[in-house]
Parts: sequence; structure tokens; C-alpha cells
Amino acid sequence: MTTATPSIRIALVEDDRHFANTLRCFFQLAETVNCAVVFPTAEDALREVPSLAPEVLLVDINLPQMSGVELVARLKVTCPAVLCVILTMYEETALIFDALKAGACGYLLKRTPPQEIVAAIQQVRAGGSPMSPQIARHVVSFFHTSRANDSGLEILTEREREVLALLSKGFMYKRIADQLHISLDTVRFHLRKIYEKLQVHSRAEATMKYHGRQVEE
Amino acid sequence: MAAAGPGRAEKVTFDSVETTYHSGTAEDLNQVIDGLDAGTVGWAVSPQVDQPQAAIFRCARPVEANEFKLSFIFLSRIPNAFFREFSISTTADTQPSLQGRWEPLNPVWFYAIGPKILAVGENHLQLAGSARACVVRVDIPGLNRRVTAFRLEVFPAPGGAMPNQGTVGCSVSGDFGLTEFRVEASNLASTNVALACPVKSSHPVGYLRPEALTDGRLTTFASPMDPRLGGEFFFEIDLRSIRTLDHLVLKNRVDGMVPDMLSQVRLALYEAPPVAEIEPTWQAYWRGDGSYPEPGCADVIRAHDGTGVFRGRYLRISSDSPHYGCPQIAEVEAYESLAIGQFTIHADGRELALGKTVTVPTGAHALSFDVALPESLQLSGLQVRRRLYGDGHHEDWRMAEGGGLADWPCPPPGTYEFQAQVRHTDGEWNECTFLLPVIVLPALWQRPSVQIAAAVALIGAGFWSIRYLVRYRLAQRVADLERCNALHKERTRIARDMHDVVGSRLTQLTVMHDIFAAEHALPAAAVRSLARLKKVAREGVAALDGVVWAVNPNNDTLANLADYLCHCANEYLTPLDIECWQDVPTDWPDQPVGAQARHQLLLAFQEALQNVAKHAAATVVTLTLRHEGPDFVVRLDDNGRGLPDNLSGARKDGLVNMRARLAGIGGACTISPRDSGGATVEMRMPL
Repeated sequence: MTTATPSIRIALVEDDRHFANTLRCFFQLAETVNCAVVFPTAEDALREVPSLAPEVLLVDINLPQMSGVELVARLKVTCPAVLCVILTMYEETALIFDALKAGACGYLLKRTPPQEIVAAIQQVRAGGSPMSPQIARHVVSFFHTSRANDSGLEILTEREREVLALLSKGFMYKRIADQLHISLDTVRFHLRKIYEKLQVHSRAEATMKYHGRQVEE
Repeated sequence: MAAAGPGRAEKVTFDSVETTYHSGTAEDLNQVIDGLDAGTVGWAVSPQVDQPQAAIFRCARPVEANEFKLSFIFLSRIPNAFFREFSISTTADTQPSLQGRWEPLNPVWFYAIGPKILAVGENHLQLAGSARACVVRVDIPGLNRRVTAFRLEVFPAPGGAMPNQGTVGCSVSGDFGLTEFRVEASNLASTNVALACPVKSSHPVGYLRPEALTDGRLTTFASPMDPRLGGEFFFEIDLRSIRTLDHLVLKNRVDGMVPDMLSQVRLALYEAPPVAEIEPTWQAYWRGDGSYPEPGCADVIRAHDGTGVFRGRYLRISSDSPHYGCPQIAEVEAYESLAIGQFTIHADGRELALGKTVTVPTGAHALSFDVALPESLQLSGLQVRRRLYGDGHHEDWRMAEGGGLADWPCPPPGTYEFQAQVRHTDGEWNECTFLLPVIVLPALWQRPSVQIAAAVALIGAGFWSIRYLVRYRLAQRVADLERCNALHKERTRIARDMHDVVGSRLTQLTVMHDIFAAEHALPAAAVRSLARLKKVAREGVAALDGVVWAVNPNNDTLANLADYLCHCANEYLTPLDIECWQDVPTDWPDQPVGAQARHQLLLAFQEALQNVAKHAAATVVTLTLRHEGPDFVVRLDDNGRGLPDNLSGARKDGLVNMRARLAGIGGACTISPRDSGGATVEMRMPL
């Protein structure tokens, strides 16, 4: 909760008004994060976000109509600069992975202590991408079975693969940095790159699925 | 020789006789019609022998016949007391009189015992020669018309005892003595409708009259008088009504003389009197090759021998033969198409309903067919033949006279045709056959319909049974699926509600703690109390998350179980500064894991994490997840201080709990020390 850095303009897409207000209340106390608006639906967000242009958008997955995953995918087209972070009640890896493929650059559980949420927002703003070992394994699995590139994991750089491998073993960023003799920020940078490649690759694969009628999910 | 078949001859009785002149008593005259050939007195006209005389014989009742056989008997014991020249007429007048309407008739046949007899002029016959007694037979056509009286006319003719004076009789006195006049009405048993029908010719005929063609006698014949007429000449027979014919018969003269004069015959039937512009309804060219019927043989001509509809009233016959005097014909016969009249069929004595078909009930033993000919065919001796035909049942015709019953043993079940044919009096079978489809029903179980029905029923029953079973099973399966689906939905709903409502509030509670702590300057004790509250709330959220995760059916997979265990380990250990290394496959088989099993394993796993955190004093915990054979294996290796010799207290209770939970889902839990220090907790859950 440093006050040195300017506050990050964020917006929240959350249909649970009580939880949203409580969290917004905490953000006001924290001062590092300025939550301007709470959108109760994805549709509202989709309409307002382009003009609002928040730096980070916290998105709940389960929304009344359009899901958070779809919102992320659409915003990735209309406002690619907005960093989307999934904020969900569920530790449903598959669903979260879908959101990451759609363009989210991280995810948080709602029950995460609010200080950690603020920290995560700051990390994301700084170019980081929080990734759990489970997600790392999904990423590995994704690139391993990806049909978008026959060379599979080779789409990732050597270093990215090393970071992924260590992360999927449950190693913390610090240990990974130490083991690879890189900085913590470099680890975060690699993870962001991995996310980006995941998104690009997801779109490529989606296109290929569309044209090639691939049945594989 | 009449057409085939016995005839019926009936004596005609007279009740009175009237003459233009009678020389004897009325009693004498009545002897002529007394029906007894004996007696020497009768009708005589002396002395008025030089004048035509006449006698009319009134019938006791009107008579109809196709031919009348007249007998004139002269037994007066006076030599040559017979007519010189005479003719015969009939009348249909109700009160026949000498002045009534009389129609002269052409004798078709005559014969005399004693004198010679010959035909002279129109309708006249002459007797010549000498004889002590004389019997004359004259046959005249009856034309099937009503006759109430016969008239006999006698004419004076020269050649007797008085050369300069013609007399009516041939006796010395010029008289005659007719002692008996007898008439038999003959109805020839014949289906020949041309018999005794009027015949005319386009030109005069030679030898006999045209009626010779329909007189039923082969001994008489007719041909054109002018031999050079060729096709111009024709005979025309009036069948007296329009008739649908079965066949025509042409017969040649029997004496074998010039038989080739019946050849290249043209036959034509007309419904209306044929005049130039009328087209025949049927015509044929018969024996166009110049052949001819042998004497005594009959040429049978059927519809198919010509063209058109074999029907008509007027039959014209001519010949294209180059021979002179054609056609010369002895007899023309016409046979109507005959139909069976009434018809009944009995099965074992029970009359069956007649429809377009007759159905014989199951189990009938005998069938009897009763054919009744129409009244017009009630001729004695008319033959009818019948048979049952069909379904491989080729039965010979059975002959029977006229109608009456004909019995058959009931044939095997099948479809037959009862056929009946009438035989014409000339021996030809009527071409048109009476047909009646007869269906002999099989026993119920023999009927194809029943067999098919049974088969269909059987198949149907089978089908329905299978269908029922399939449907039943399907319904059960659908119900199961629906239950599953409903359960799935319900579980999802519960999970979401718990998360969104309860989880969200609890989470809100933890956030609010931070807000309070930041907003208010609280005493240290209050801050500690708030911190405990926050901890409890956090644990509540975690516990709720575990329950909700277990309840949520979306997590019923091995991959999700693995993810969640990793997540729990991370979430639990990371805040405790215990690293959680993971040795977890990236891919899992698509293996379902039930909520109950997942929840029990999760609780045991959390217990194990607690144990490690509380008692092991480890800095790194390695979580290994494996799918080994039938089991899902969860192993926690810590780098802590290992296990004491005897587990006790909370740790022992924890182990007991873990074992109990895994035992409840058929699994096992072991704790063992590691060689490199620390301990290993291994949980196996069967899949």
C-alpha cells in the first residue's frame, strides 16, 4: 500500500452488488487503485469500457447474460490496451484457462485477501501475469497438443518453456528466477509473453477449427 | 329330319267344322273331326264338284306350334275319292269364319300314300293317280303363331272322268270323300330360333320355296331359279326378333348332288330390315376358299368367324361362288346365346348366399348346384354340363339333363369357378359359359389371412414387446438421465448459490475486516479479535469452497480433481511459507470421479496438509498425483522432521480420520517415513 505510485484506474464487472461495493470501498482505502465504475453486466461494460478506458478491468466470469470470458474476448478486439483480470469465486481451472485464452492476463479468486488483489492489479499493470502451477500445466498441455503449429511447444522460446516447466512444478517466481538466473520481472515478462502467445495461438486454433472443422476441443 | 332332339307333338282338337257346301249330313261332317281314323263318311261336295269348295276347322282352343302336321284321310271306299288340288290356310281370328282373314301357308313337306303328290303354283298341292284309299301328310310351318282354325280349300282341276270339266275330286263323279282331318301341333325341341322362320329371297327360287331353309328338314333345299344371278341373289331369314346369337349352322343338301353350291357364302346380320344403306351388325365370309360342307354335316359359324356384334333379326345369305345357282342351302339354323336362369348352391343341404362369388364355409362336405333353365328353354332333354374348375382342380364336365341338382364332394380349400354350359339341340355347347366364382374357405387356421394375421400379430406382439421394453428401458434411461441431469443442474445451482450468496458474504466479511481495521483506530485487543474473526471467516470461505467444489458436478473429472488438489495445497501452504512443489501430469484420462469420493478425498487431503503444516515443520512439500492402474494416487512428501515412533494426539486422530474417509470410498491411506527425512502420506482412491 505504497502511495508513491499513481493510482491505477480500474473498473469492475461484477453482478454481486454487495461484494462489488465492499471491494470498491477497500480500493478507495488503498488509494493505489481507483475503481471508477462497477458494471453489473458484461453488456454494460462492453458499451462503456471503450470511452472509460480503464487500465485494468476486473471481470467476474459468471455474469447474468454474456459471460466474463466472452466479454474479455470482445474487449480484446475493441480495447486491446485494457488489461483484463478474471476475478472469480470458482477455482475452475478449465474455465479460467478459457478466460486466459480469450485474452485475460491473469486471474484472482474473490476470496483472495483484498491486499493481494491490489498487489496483483499492480503486478498486472507492471507487465506481470500471475500464473498458478495448474494453469502452467494447462498451458503446457495446450501448446503440446496444439495443431496451430506442428512444432508444438517450439512456438515458445527456450526460456519461456523453462519458466513454464518450473512453474508447473509449483515453484514460486522467486525460485524460478533464482534457478534460471533471471530477475523476478523477467519471469513475469516471460509469463506475460506466454499469455500473449496463448491468446494468439488460441485465436489461430479457433480459426483453424473453423476452417478445418477440427473436432478437437 | 328335324334339328336334333325329340319333339313334342300334340293333337289339335276341333270343336266345329263349317263348309261352303256339304252333300251329306252334319253328322257325317262331324265324323271328319271326331279324331277317329275309322269311318267311311265325311265331307263330300257332290254334285257341286266343279266349284271351289272350302272347309274350316275350328280349334277347341288356340294352338301354337312351330309346325303343324296335317293328315288327310280318304277312306270312303270309293276309288280315287281324293282332292285334285288343294291349299291350306290358317287364321288367328277369334271367331273363325269362311269370310275371315286367312293366311295361306306353304307346305314344307308332304307325302301321299296312294296317289302322287306335287306342289303346284303358290301354296297349292296336287294329287294325281289312282288309289282305293289315300292318306296325305302335309306339314306346314306353324311360325309359333296363334292359330284358331284351319282352312282347307279345294279347287276344280282337269284330268278326271270328265275331260271337259275340272272337278274338285278325282272319283268317277268328280267328288272326294274326306273321312278324317287330323292336325298335330309339333313343337320341335330345338334351340334353333330360325326354325320355321319366314324366309324370303331376292329373286325366285327353284325347286322348293325359300322356307325350305328353315323347315328343319335336310331333304328340302332352295337355290336361286336364275343360275346367273351370282352375288345379287340372297335369302333373307327373319328371326322375328333381334337375337344375340351363339352360332349359326349351314347345312348342305343331303343327297350329295352338286354340294359345291354351298360355298363362298356371305352372311350378314341386321337389326333392322336391311335396305341398301344399312350396315350389318355382323358379317362373315364363309368358306371363301371354295370348299363346301359335306352332305349331312353341319357348318358351325360363330361370332369370331365374322366381324361385328353377333346379333340381329335379319339374316341375309348370298354367295360369291362362280358356280351357277348359288347358294343352294338345305337348312339354316340360328342358335341364341343361352343363359342359365336360376341358380342355387347348397353346402351340406344348406343354401348359400349368392353374390358375385359364393363362399363355401369351412368344413363343408358336399356341394350341390341347382341349375334352372329359363322358361323359354324348358325343353325336355336339354343338356347342361357343369364343373368346378380352378386351383389345380381340373375336373371333367359333368353332364346333366336340364336343370336339377348336381352334387360334388367339397373340394379342398381354394378358389374355383363353377361353370355351366347349355347344349344346344344341335349338339353344340353354348359358347357363353355361365361362371360363378366359388371360394371354399379353409379352416380358420388354414386361411392365409388368418395365418398372416397370426404372423402379423405375433410379430406385432414381439415388436410391441421389444418396443415396450426398449421404450421402457429408454424411458428408464431417460428418467435416469433426467434425474442425472436434474441432479447435475441442482448441484450446479446449489454450488453457485452457495458461492454467490454464502461465499460472497463470507468473502465480503473478510474484506470488511480490512476496511474496519484501516478506517478505525482500534485498540490492540480489538484488532486481535478482529483478526480472529477474519481468520474464522477465511476458513469458512475455504471450507465452503471445498464443499461447493465437491458439490459442483462440473468438477466430476480426474483433471479437475488434480487441479483442485494443487490449488488447495498452494493456497494452504503458500501463506505458511511452505513451498508446494508439484509433480503432476499435464494430461489426465477422461475419468469421472463422483462428488462423494472427491469430497472425502479432499477432506482427507486437507487433513494431511494440516498435519504437515502443524507437525512436520517442513519447508517444502511435494505433491505427487498419479493415475496408477485403477487408483488415483495422492502423495504428499514433506522435508520435515519425520514421524515419531508412536503417533499420538491430534496427528493420530487426523490419521484415523484420513483412513476412515478413504476407507469410506474404498481407498486407503498410509503414512510412512521417508529415507531422506520427512514423511510420506499416500492416499489411494479407486476410480
